[in-house]
Amino acid sequence: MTQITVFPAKKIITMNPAQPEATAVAVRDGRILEVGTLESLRPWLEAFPHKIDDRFKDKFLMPGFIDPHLHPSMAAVLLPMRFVTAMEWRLPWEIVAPVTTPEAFLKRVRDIDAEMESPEAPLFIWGYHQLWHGKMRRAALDDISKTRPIVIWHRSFHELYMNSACLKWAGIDEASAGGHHQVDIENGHFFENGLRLAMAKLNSYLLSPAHYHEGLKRLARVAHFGGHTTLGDMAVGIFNFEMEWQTTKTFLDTDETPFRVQMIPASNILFGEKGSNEAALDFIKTLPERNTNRLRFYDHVKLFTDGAFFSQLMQLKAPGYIDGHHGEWLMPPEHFEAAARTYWNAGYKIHVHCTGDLGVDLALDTLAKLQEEKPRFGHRFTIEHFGLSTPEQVRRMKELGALASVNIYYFHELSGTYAREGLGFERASQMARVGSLLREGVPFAFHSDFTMAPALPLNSASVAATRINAEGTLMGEDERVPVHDALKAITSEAAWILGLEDEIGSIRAGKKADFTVLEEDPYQVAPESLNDIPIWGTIFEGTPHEIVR
Amino acid sequence: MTTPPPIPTAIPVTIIGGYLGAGKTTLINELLSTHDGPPLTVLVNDFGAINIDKDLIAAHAGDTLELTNGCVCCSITDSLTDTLLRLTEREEKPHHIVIEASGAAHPAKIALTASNWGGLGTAQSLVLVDALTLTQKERDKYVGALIQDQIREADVLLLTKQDLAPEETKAAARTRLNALNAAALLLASSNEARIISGAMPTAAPRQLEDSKEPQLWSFTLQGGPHERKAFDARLKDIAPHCERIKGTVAYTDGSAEELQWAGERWARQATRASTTRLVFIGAERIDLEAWRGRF
Ligand SMILES: [Zn+2]
Repeated sequence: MTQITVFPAKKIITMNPAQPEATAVAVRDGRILEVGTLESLRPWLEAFPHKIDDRFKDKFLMPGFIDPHLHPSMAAVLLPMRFVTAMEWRLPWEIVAPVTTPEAFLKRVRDIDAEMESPEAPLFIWGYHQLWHGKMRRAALDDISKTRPIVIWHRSFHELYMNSACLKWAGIDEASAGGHHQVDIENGHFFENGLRLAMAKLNSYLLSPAHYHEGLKRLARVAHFGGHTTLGDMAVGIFNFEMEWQTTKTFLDTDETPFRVQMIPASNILFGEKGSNEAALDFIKTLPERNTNRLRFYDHVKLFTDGAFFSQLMQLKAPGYIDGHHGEWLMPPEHFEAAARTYWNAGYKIHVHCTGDLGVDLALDTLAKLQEEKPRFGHRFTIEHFGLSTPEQVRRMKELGALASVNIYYFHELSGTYAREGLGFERASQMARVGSLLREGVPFAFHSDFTMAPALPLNSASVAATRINAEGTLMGEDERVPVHDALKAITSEAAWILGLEDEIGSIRAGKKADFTVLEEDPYQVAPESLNDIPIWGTIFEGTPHEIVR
Repeated sequence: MTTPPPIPTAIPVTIIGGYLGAGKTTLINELLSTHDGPPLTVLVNDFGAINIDKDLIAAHAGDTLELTNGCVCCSITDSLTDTLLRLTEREEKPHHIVIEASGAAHPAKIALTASNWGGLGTAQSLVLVDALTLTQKERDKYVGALIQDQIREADVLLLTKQDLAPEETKAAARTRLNALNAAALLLASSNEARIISGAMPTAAPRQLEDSKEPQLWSFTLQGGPHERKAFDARLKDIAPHCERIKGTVAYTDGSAEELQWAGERWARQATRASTTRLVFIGAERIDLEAWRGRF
């Protein structure tokens, strides 16, 4: 029998309300035997060989953090790029300092270009935003390099600029793209639908094994850096199902990977591949046969209602957008309902991407209809993102048994802008209304939807507990939640939403020995400083993994 | 941004849009089974076109490609653009591309994606509207606004299921379409939809010699603004060769007009617009490419 390892700590924050705190935890074969004190652990220690690993005796242990919704594939495309951003981004390999003027932006690009060895290697920069970085021009990029293809990708992912070397490299010229209404060849600018054309040309590079594999390796570092021990890949198949599965298996299913990934298939993509909801369901039913210890498919599936929050394409109830435009449905409501019915009747736990309040209405109306047709307890129907909602919808979620997985960073990054454009102050200040969820007793978790928000759970918790946005403004203070509830949303509640509450999310006998090791007590720092708590690293299934800086 | 003059060899593109049940699949099956022009390239949406009769395609030497939904939360992959890129880079260029839009899509946005690059012409968006359910759908909590947007943004409209609708229902639907989008060309029949979609022989030069069919053709002019006098002169020249002309013209002096040519008569009235979108349908042998080039 394997030896028991005991980790004493300054404080163990268990997230088990029956025993909130402890000072030592005994672990064997990746599981917790008991949490308590060195004294209370004695029956185990007297019965079996054990060692005391006291490297955490001055540190704080929490249940391993869980991000129930992010996209490793998108991260793999983005992470090999260089970040030049208006906001600070903390990455394991660099802290990206804010760059907030046009001159500083170009200087940073120039510096990065100068650092690179090969003069022909392509350079992708992500994070440009005209609000800070001014107007971008192809000529300015040509000034930086005439030989190296340079792409400047907008923070929103919806537009990019190329220099002349890049246009040539991608095989785009006046004749092939000049007439496109959303391409400005003169400035190397591709936006909205024009971006699709640019992407179609750049994809062979971005999805090439060399680029993509490097990206996935970086994702593993990012996830570890944030203190995660469990991730939810909340739409397996967004690029190519089998390619994503194979690469995830190659790069993340290794002994060095300090986390597991719950694989939740994107049902609409599989519908496209297999031809019907039933055929997609049959395929999804076979997926758990592929499971490994770290990568697991199960009875969860992803569906979609309305458009992207960052693009103001969410569907809104009255009074709609200030400028009168309408959001989008990602699939016709009838198709959404048909897909939901297929998975509901098969007993699946359905996660629905909903960004606007009309999207939430569609999801809840559908849920009510399905409950009528085939009542289910414990269905864990989850609203994903939860951008805009009404207090009454929250009450209805309670009534129907729906849960919420919230992108709280929407509030952080967009509440200021959306108060001025599109929504107005009232609705913008109440986006991601987690206070209401708490008042009504609807279970909720926080996610990053990385790369939509930084994969830093303590950052999400801090935003939810303070409701101070990126502009430093307190907005919607009645939708704040106490720090304890914010911490539950990245541990025990996230486990509940992923249906893994028996395995992870709190520290108690029988659960996986997953811990996040903090240098400070999150209950003793100000809520706005939660994200400044240094993370030593994690313990995944009993094995410590220090963050290497 | 102004649009350069249409490329003479531009590949015509037709977007067939409209909400679920409007008859997109029926029309596409009809195009495929009755078409006798050059082969059509049909891109069908995987969510909408479950009933496309694949046998028809084989039988008619056309080409259909299925679009997948692509990535819904980002713009990194996009099946439509990828497919169009592959098609336009082929040795043998498609003669006419027909794209079936998802019921949830804004056809006008798809038209932007599929216009004026890689040899593609300006896409026409043809939106189908079910005469029987228009009133009810417009009131729908979830898709009412979408259906109105689809109608407002169309170049060409076709009212379907007219054979099933009582006269007053049809009249009400027509009035409604006119109220939502007076500038769009309202087709009289699915036969005209076949012309628009390239399923009838066109008067393109290569066809002039051997075809004995009536020469039917259609194109959309887009861009502007146009210099009023010169544009007017060209319009007067082409009109006698056209069955119908309809749409909006923006002029360089900042004014704009809604134009309609039908039954040898012009109807014109001032409107507000910053770009031109004009649909032409003709039934006479003309050198279409040459005409197109003159605008
Ligand atoms: Zn997502």
